[in-house]
Formats: sequence, C-alpha cells, structure tokens
Amino acid sequence: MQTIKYFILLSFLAFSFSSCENFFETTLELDPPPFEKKLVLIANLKSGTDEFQVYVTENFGILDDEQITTLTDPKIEFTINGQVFDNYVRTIQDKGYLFIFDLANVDIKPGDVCRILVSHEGFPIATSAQVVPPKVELTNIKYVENGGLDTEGSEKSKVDVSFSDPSSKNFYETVVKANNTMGWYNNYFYTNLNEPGASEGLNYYDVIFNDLAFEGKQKDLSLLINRTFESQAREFEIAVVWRTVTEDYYKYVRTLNVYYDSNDNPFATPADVYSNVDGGLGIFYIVNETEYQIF
Amino acid sequence: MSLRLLFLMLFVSVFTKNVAQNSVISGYVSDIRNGEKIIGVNIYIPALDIGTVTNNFGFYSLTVPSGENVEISFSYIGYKTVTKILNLTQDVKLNIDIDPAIELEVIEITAEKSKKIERETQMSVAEIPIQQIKKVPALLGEVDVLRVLQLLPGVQSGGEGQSGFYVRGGSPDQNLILLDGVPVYNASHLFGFFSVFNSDAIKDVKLIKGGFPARYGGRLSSVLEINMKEGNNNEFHGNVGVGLIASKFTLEGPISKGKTSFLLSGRRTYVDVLARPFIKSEFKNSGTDGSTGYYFYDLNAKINHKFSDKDKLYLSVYTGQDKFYYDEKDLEGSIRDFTDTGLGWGNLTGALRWNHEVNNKLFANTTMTYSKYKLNTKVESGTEFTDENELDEIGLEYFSGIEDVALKVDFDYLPKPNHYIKFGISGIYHKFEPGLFILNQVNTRENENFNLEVGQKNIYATEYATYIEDDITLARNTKLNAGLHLSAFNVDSKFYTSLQPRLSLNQVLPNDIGLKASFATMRQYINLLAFEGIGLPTDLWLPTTGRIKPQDSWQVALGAAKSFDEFEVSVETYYKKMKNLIAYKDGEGLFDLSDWQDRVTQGDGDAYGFEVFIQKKKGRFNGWIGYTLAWTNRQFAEINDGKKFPFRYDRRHDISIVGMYDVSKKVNVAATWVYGTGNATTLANSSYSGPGSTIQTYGARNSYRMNPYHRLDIGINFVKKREKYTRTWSVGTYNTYVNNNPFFVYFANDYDYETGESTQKLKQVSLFPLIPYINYSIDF
Repeated sequence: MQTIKYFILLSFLAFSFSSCENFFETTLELDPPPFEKKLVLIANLKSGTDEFQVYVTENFGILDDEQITTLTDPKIEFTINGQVFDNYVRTIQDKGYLFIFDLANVDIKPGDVCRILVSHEGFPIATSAQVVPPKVELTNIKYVENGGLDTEGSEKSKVDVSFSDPSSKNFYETVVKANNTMGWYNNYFYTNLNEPGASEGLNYYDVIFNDLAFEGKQKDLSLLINRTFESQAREFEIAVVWRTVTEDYYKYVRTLNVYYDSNDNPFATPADVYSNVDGGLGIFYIVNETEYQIF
Repeated sequence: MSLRLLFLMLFVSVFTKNVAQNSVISGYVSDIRNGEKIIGVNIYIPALDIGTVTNNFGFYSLTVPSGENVEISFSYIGYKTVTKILNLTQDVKLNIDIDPAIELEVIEITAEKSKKIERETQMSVAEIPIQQIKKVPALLGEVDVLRVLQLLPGVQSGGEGQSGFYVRGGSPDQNLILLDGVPVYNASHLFGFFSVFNSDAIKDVKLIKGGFPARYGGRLSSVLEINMKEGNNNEFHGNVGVGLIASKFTLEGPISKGKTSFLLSGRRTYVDVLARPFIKSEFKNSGTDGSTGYYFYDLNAKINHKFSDKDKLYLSVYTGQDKFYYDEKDLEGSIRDFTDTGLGWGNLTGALRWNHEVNNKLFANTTMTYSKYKLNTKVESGTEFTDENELDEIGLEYFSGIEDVALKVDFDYLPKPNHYIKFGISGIYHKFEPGLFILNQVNTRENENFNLEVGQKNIYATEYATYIEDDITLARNTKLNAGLHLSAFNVDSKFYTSLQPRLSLNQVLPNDIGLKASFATMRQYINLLAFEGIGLPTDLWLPTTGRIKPQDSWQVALGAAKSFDEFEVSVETYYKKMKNLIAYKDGEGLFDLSDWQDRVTQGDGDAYGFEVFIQKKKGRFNGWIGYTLAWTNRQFAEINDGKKFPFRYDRRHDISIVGMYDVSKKVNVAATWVYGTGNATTLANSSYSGPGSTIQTYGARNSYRMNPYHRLDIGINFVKKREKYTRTWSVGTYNTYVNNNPFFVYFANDYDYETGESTQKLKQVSLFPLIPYINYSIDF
C-alpha cells in the first residue's frame, strides 16, 4: 500500500515538473526556406494564330504576403529560326507584363525553332526554346452513339479516329467538342481514352498521350465521351480538336496535374511542376492544332 | 586470385587430415543461476593461443592437439572466468556453468586475448548486454532495445521519439529484424514511439551493419538478432513492473527441473483503462453512449525441452497488437445515429527450433518459423430507426499485411581450431496482402444490401537461400571470414537468383591494433512501401514482381580496432552502393486505389561515412561515445529531374554519449546525450502565378534542413534487496534541458481575429519538451 502511495505521489510530481500547457507539443515559428528570385514566363504558341502572347512575371518567397511586382522594365527577344521578331505590344497586366507579338504575316512550320529570351535587371536571364511539332492529320473520323464502355463500365458514345504516327517521339492532345447550331451553347465533352499512359490534358476535358506504344505506326483510337442523345445531337455540331504538342508541353501538363492532385494531400510526396525555362520558371510550349467537324 | 581458387584452397585446408593426434573438447556453456545458454562465451587455451566462442545455442567445439594438464578458460563479460585443467588424451565433453560476477565486480572482468575486439574477424557489429540496455534512460521509462541501438555509430533514429532505425544510409525495410530467428515486419507500437520488444523477455541483442557473414541475407543494410530468454531451468522467478504508461510481468521457471522450462512475459498500456470512467461520463453528458481509447500489448512465451544432451527443442511465440477505437451511439430518440471506428495492427510470430548435436564437431539447428503482420481499419456509421426497427448503415474496412512460413536448417562445423564453418539452407513462403477495401451498405427500409470489394490481389512468392562460410585463422594474427550466399525468389512466374560473395579480413599488427576490411553484396526481394515523411502502420510490405526489380547493394568497409586496459576504440569507414531502391513517384502517396506498381519508381542510392566508437566496459563508470560523419544520397530517374538528392535521413554529424555510473550497490545513474544534424525535407520555397492558379515551387528534393536535434536524458535506479525479492525504483527525465527538437515542419495560416488578416507562417512542431518518468519493479 505504501508503495502504491509513493508511486502515485511520484507520478504526480513527475507530471508537475513538465510544462502544463501543450504537454506533449510545442510549436515554433521558423524562417522561410531560401529561394532564388527568378523571372517567370508563361508562353503558348498555337500554330495558325495571328498573335503570340508571353506573360512575364516573377516568383515570390513562399511566405511573402504582398505579391506586388518588382518588375519595372522587362526586355524580351523572340526569334524564329534565329530571325528576331520585335513587333510586339507590351502592357502591364495583374502582377506582370504581357507581350503580344503580331504573327499575322508569319508562316510558322513544323520544325521551326522558336526561342524567347527575357531579361530584367536584378534577375537571371530567362530563356526557352521550342521546336514546332509536326502536323499529324486524322485520316478517319467516325461518331458512334452509345458505342463504348469506359474503364468503369459506364456506357459512352465514341469517336473513332485514325492517324499515321510519324517515326519520331510524338505527343498528342485531343478533345471532342460540341458547338450548338443555334449559336448559344458551345461545350466540350469530357474525353476519355482507354490507352496506357493517357491522362487528363491541360484543360479538364482534354486527354493527353504519347506514342510510346505505337511510334511510327498507323493508329486507331476510340475517344469516349458522355452520351449525346439523338434529339440533342441534332442541335449540335460535333467536332474533334486534334493537337500535336511538344514534349515539354506533355511534361508540363502531366506534372501540373500531379501537382494539383497532390498539393493539398499531406500524405503525398511533393510534386514540382515542370519548367523548360532556363534561368527562370514557367513554360513555353507550342501546339499544332486542327479542328475536324464530324457533323 | 579468383574467388573459385580461394574457395578451393579453403576446402583443401579444411579437409586435410592432421598428422598429430587431436582431441575434441565440446559442450555447452550456461548461466549457473538459470541454465540459460550463453551466446558468445570465449573459450581459450592460453598455452596454445587458440580459442573459439559459443554459438547462438551456447554450444562450442574446439579441436586441439592431445596433451596433459591443458588449461582452458571460459570467460564472458559480466561473469566470473572459469578455468579448468584437462588431460586431453581423448575427446572431452565439458558442459560449463558460469557464475555472474557480483554487481560491482561485473566490470572488472577482462576479456581474454582472442575475444579482444582487435582479434575478431567480424567488423561493423554491436552487441549490447541487456543489463546495460536496461540502465539507459528511456522515454516514459519504457526500456527500449531499438532506441538504445540508435545510440551506436552508423545507426540513426528517424526523428523525435521514433524507435525505427536507419543503418548506414539504408531505409527501415533494409533492416532484417529477427526475434528468435523469425522476421518481425513491424517493430513499433504507437506510430513508432515504442518498439515491440519487451526488454524483460530478451536475452541478448546483436546488430550487424556491414561485413555480413554469408549466413545472413534478404536485407541490404543490417541484421538485428534478438533472442528471447529460454526460461529459468532451475527455479521459478519473475518480475512485475509498473510504469507511467504500461505495466508488465515476466514469469519463468522449470516445468521439469533441468529438462523443461518456460518463460511468459507480457506488457500492456493502461491509459485507456484509467480514462474509461471519465470518457463514459463525457459521452453520457452529451446524451450518447460510447468509448474511445488506445492501447497496445505484447505477449512473449517460450518453452524449451531438453530431450538429451544432444537434442533440444524450443518453441517461442510473440504476439502484439495496437488498437485505436472510437464508438458512439445516441441513447435517446427514435432516430439514433451511431459510429464505430477502429484501427488495429499487430504481429504474430512463432518459431519451433530443434538443436541437434550431430557429433562433437557438427551442430545442427532446424527452425520452422511463422510471421504475420496485419493492419485492419474499420469505419462504420449509420442510423437506427427504433420505432420502425429499421437500419441504414455504411461501413468501410481496409486490410493489408504480410504472412510468412519458413523452414531453415543451419549447421556449425568446427573441424579444426582454425576453421569455423557454417552452412545451411532455407525456404520462405510469402503471402503479401497489398490492401483491400470492403464497402458494405445496408438500408433495411429501402431493402438495399450493397457489398463491394476493391483492392489488389494477394501476391504469393517463395524465397530460397543457401550459404556456406568459414571463419579461418590463416596465421596467428590473420583471420578471414569467407562465404557465399545464394538466394532465389519466385514470383509472377519470374525466377530471380543472386550469388553474393562475402569477405571479412582481420590483420593484427605488432602493436595490437587490428586492421579490418570487409566486402559484402546483398539482395533484398521485399520492399516496404512507406511514405517517407512519417512511419505509419499503413506502410505496405510488397514483393519484387515481374515489374519491380529486387534491391541490390554492395558495401565495402575498412577499419581499425584496439582495446586498452579500460577502453575499446574502433574506427570504421564504409561505402555502400544500392540499386533498385523503391520510392513513390512525385505526387504519389498513401490512400490510393490504383496499382501500387504504377505509383512507385526505382532508383539508386549511395552511402558513405566514417564512424568512431569508444567504449568503456570496465570500472564503476562505463559507457560509450559514438560519432558518425556520413553522407547518403538517392537518385531516381523520375524524381528531382533525375538528379541526385540527399536521403531524408542524410545526417552529416551524429553524436551519442552514454555514461553509466554505479554509485553503490543500491544506486546507479545513467545519462545520454545525442546530437544529430537536422533531417532533410522538401518544402515549397517560392510561388508564382501559373495558368489559373498559384503554383508553388519546391526546389531540389530534400533541400531544406530541419533544425539539429539534441537531447539529454538522465535516469537513476534505486535498487534494494529484500529477503524474497529485489525492488527497483527508476526515475528520470527525457529531454532534460527542454530543447525544442523538430518533429515536423509545416506551413500554417494564422488568422488574426482583430485585423481579420491571415498570415502564412512556417512552423516547427516539437514533441516532448520534458518528459519525466518513474517506474517501479520487483524481481523475485
């Protein structure tokens, strides 16, 4: 009995010694991790368009609250196959600068090398280059109402497409689109593809994939979309938007999706978004896009 | 010289007959008090300068030239040396009982010449007597074997309070943890704060972190052998202990004196039991009935039976469980909601061993083992409509685990004093359960009963191994341990094989400095898919498959050792290269239903470093200082842009100082101080406006260093011998000078209610500011 008394008394004293508040846990504030100040470029060039936009901004420390730009006079150089294009308009937009190049009279062809160089005092020079991807034509397009099942067994309509993949590493993005004939409603179908490695594209409705499994071969694909009922179908013009994209774009989209999927998950490993900007951050990509109307 | 030629020479030297007449001295060495066989007792004949050591079952054999009045000594640290004079005209069977030294004499025992550290072939090994482990201050007073091992050079803890360990840059799954020869797949309780090993049931602990002898295989980084006590063969004894979080008991004694003995040891936490009345009352106040709590328990049992001097049988079993539970049910009204959740995980291991002395030079040990680790999570909630006697309920259960059955036969063959040959064969049948979700929905009003099982199929695999090794005395001051380990793994109709050479060399210089070198290749067929930020019971054991390649490593180590009067000093440097390591791809992690093979990637790793170990074994004051300077890196094609990055537990400096002082027969004090470079982790360091939203950038993987870790623990034991029992009060403090050691860091948004502004901050969470402990135990 005496021993039990001792034990209880000493246990009480033991706990009294320790801090009463937050007994098992204390929280300290730390300095933020160091980072290098860089220019950020977001630039996408779509073949066949008249203008090319480059948005230039900067990165901020992770704990920086006021994200007010420190950029005052960014300089840009845009070249195609070494030829400089300087007919652009520069405007301040949000936290950065938007450069809009006029490409109305420029014929950009597959294989052309496009390069951007952005400089600003106090920042490392940011450069990025892209080769215009090949144009790959669809040779067959067929819409089948209720023609397929997705991976979960749900009934889908499908669009069968065929194309001949060039004998090099190629990357594709596609989506099925519905344009309302009355002109008041345009929509994208969530497009699915039962192919290994296919995943969501830059936009939620798109699907992106590579030719790892069929490089240099004829390929048939079934693009699965939500069902359109015949009565509704009459109101739509159904089209396939078909893009060949650069490898950097493919990597960017894949990592961006992983980033969004994992960013708020404490049980996921951190995922960085791919950047092809040397000395800076962001992405410069080129897509070669064609729209095929089915009906 | 080719490896084949070397082995041929060894073979010839072993089986060449001696011209001179020889005698064989063989037998067992036991503890006089309880009949427990003692491992590693040094048997030495000074006149001939030859000796050997007892094996894992206390057996020894020494072939010596015949002669008269030959003096032979048996010594073991902590025991009185026994010396015998023998007339060796024929083979001698000599079983020896050795007597522990009186408490304060323990430290005066001198190791004999051949047992000195500089003369041992094996390097990169640590053996800590369980009595010493029990003196080291412990978190909440729970003596923890794994936590003491973390105080050795080359062995690191994962983080604050964690009992998992990282050996020479390896990950926890690269440690083969054997309890009586059975692999234990999850060695921790309470998310890693305590290990599953109850110190009262343990006889000895041995950690090998490099220079692996050929008998070991299956893991890349370390082998931890923990042997349970056999049970007192002479009389009944026991121990009862009461601590702040757990109580335990041990009972051992003879079933048939001198022939059969048993050991039974148990431990259970009791916070849940003490809190139950208060929790019940809280639920009642809120109009519900329910319970919540957490507990873990361990149970060790062992029986051994001696059939004859040559045959012994051992049966040992371990089971342990952790359990969180929460259930609540409305007590009133016609619509009553209820919730029932639980998270449980645990191990069950068993070993049946048969020791057979084939002859006085050949000893066989046949072992059949079973090991199972299982995780079970359950979440159920629903509504009872009491008026209508109807039910609407949804439940989700998740299971994962691993189960092994194994058979192995090991032989010790001692043909000559200069050869100690070990060989054996083993087979393991593995069953992997990579995770299964069961969804069950019942709605009696709608007459619905929905049942869905989603998950991955069990994977079955078989693993085989055979080995041969020889510990050879090449010359008086030159020893070599050479061996080959051949392993194979059959899974997914794929058959992997691996031949792993092992070499250790010891050369004693004239000034009694032992120079050591070792080379070992290892292969590992099973992987722990763990989220690297935390150690959770949800971590999955998964096999090599047709897609996932086995992990491989090679390690080379160089070292020097010397014993002085009161000290032993050893320095070692090592380089380890690892291939086909497994890790989650960027953005992947826990709680995903997709195929685990799609979520992981394989890559390489390397680790190199320098270790210093200074140990004082004699005198009233004893202990050790360990220092490690180390680098550990990983490289995966799909992580960090394929660039090399530091492993999360890359720790440049790691220091441990352990001191124990016997003030008197009644009082002993101990203190430990540890310092470690902060863990590497990945944190977002900047952000920019991306298309549609802000994107954070992380910089290089594991490029952020947490604060360094350091801590002082102090403990005092007050021992008093009574007529029928000995009682011990243990008191102490963990983290005595209240250092805020990092547990994890995170970004938090602090909201100011006055200004209505929210500010993001980087915060460090520290556990255990100062944890005092007190334990009371009785040995009878």
